[in-house]
Amino acid sequence: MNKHRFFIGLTLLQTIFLGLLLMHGEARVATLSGQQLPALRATVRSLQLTDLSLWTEARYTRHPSQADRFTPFQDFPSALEHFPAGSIMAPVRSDSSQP
Amino acid sequence: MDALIRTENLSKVYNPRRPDEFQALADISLTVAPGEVAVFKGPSGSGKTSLLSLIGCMSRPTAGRILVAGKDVAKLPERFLTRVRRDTFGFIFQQFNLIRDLSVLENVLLPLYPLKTPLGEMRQRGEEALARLGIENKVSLKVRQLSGGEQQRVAIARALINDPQIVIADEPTAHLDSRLSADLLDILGEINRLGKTILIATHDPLVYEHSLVTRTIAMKDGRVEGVSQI
Amino acid sequence: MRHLKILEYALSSLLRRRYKNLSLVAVYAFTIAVLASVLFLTHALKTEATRLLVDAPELVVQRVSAGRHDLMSTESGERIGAIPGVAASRPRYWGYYYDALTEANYTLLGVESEPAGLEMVEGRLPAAPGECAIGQGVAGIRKVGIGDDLILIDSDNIGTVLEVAGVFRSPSDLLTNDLVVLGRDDLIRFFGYPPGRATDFAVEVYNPAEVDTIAGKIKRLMPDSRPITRSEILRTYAGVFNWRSGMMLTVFAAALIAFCILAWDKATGISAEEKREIGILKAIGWETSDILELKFWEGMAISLTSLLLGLMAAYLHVFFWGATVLSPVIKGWSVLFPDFRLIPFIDPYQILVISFLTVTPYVASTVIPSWKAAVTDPETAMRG
Repeated sequence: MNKHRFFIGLTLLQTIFLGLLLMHGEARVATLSGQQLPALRATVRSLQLTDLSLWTEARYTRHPSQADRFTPFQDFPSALEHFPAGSIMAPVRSDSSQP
Repeated sequence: MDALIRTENLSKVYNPRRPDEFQALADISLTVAPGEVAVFKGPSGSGKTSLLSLIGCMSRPTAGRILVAGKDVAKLPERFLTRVRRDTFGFIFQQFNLIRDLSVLENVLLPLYPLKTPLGEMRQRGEEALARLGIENKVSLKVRQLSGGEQQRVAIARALINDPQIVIADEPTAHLDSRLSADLLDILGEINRLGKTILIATHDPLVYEHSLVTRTIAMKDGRVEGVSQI
Repeated sequence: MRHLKILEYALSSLLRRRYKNLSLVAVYAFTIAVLASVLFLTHALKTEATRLLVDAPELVVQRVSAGRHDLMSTESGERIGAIPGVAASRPRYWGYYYDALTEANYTLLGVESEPAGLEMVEGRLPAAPGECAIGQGVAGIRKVGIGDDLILIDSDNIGTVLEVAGVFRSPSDLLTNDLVVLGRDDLIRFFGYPPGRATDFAVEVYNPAEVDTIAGKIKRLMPDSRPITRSEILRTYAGVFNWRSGMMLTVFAAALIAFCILAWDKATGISAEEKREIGILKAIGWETSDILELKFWEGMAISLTSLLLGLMAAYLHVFFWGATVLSPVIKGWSVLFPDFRLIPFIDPYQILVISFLTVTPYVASTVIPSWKAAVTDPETAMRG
């Protein structure tokens, strides 16, 4: 007749563990924001970087912020779509003042 | 003595206004006094089970009144009907209606889960009830591991766990041999000696000719054919 | 107390079909873990991107010729520099290199000859001709380290030997994984840039609020130019993993369909045995509300356990194990792809939404089908 105690205990344990994970995350964010982020931002500033180095398959996946709307289509007529990068990056959004 | 149970012009129609409409009971008026052992005898289809269902607040009549300890139960809202059923009646079903994959103890204690009884006290009461019926050593077994006779004792223990005033048994000897039937009737006799009223539906002469029976109500085709007081 | 007892019975009831229910929890937790992993990963990536790229150039001006990005003359840069409000206009030199040896693409970047030291570089940036600094990805795939030689083929098809003076540290992988940083003159020579040409210009303005106005002026001054503001760069990354993008839509649609199948199976009526059981409970005195509470606890036990397990697994997977299950999927055809060592930015709103969307429908699909049996009179319910 103790199943309910076991279940409640297990649920509490899981919740506490999850809470600890999240708190650990918060602590890491605080530490890294103080330690790493300034150094990373200095790198961006110094090297004048504009994009993350994620997908290196094509120009428009490597530098999506620098690519124009039609860039994915201009490589050549039968250019293959780069998946999943092409399906993850939404089309480049620009100001209404831009063409 | 005032009747514990009284029915007045009771009728039950199943599936009304449908092609399979069926009149199970017609115009039943009878009484049962406190402490009686009343047997409803008759062939299959005579309406015995339907009548016990109505008296036991398990369904509602199409017409007529049912008074249990003076209360008109036919008109009660669902919630109060359930409470009357729970506090007044204990059921021993023909098919036992136990939950096969639960343990014996869990089955016996089923009526107590929604009540305020603490878990520790529940367990104690369950073990006592099983001990009174001689199956305390089967407490942790699953019901499907028991014999027919043992399963019926579990069903009886469950029916008695709430200390009801009225015990209803529907064809209790249907799955038993004559020795076990005799044992069962002894148990029912003991229950009656504790002051409980017993209603039995049966077509087994072993039951309706037994000495513990105080009133016999003969039924046929949904009507009462005769009542004899012993 | 009553509620705990009904919970006790609900657990007994679930344990009767132990293996089925444990499998259900496992599958459900896995589904939640996958969904939550995707959400955690994308949120952390987007947050890190937007926090890092706030230091991107305020304005980048490209030249577009015949629909393609073309080199810009240094004279254009000077014209930009002369616009009122512009503090500085610096040429940028960068391009792509396809390494046939490894089939990987690198990004080559040219820097000023006397760069300031960077904490994220082990060693140093190139200070003399013939030197380079490389990202971890390049170092790994070419198996070179500080002091080794990196040989690249230039635009004249001649091998150029570059000494590795520095390697970018792992925490900067997201920014530098595929970089090869050379001295500016080395890069110009390497790509065979005509004299007086730059890739594009990074423009600094005095008043950040005027950046759009200045972009407009540049556009009017040079109609073939394409100014890109910092806010556009940030918006690009805010739009990554947008729910409308194909990948996310596929993942979510698949999860939604799986869930609908599960819910439909539960919701299209309970089995005859369950109906009978509810009838028995009613016959022995359980009220309708007790039965609904029982079903509530059954649904809650499964969905809450699955939710907690799924969330824990997702968090550990993404932030402790570098999303090892997801990254091959996201990587696509990239030969170089950074290891995910993400800062654990979590959006609590996402956790709330996941919780709500996983627990509520499941509990509802457990309780609602039982409603009819729970309100039926016991005799009818037991007859089946």
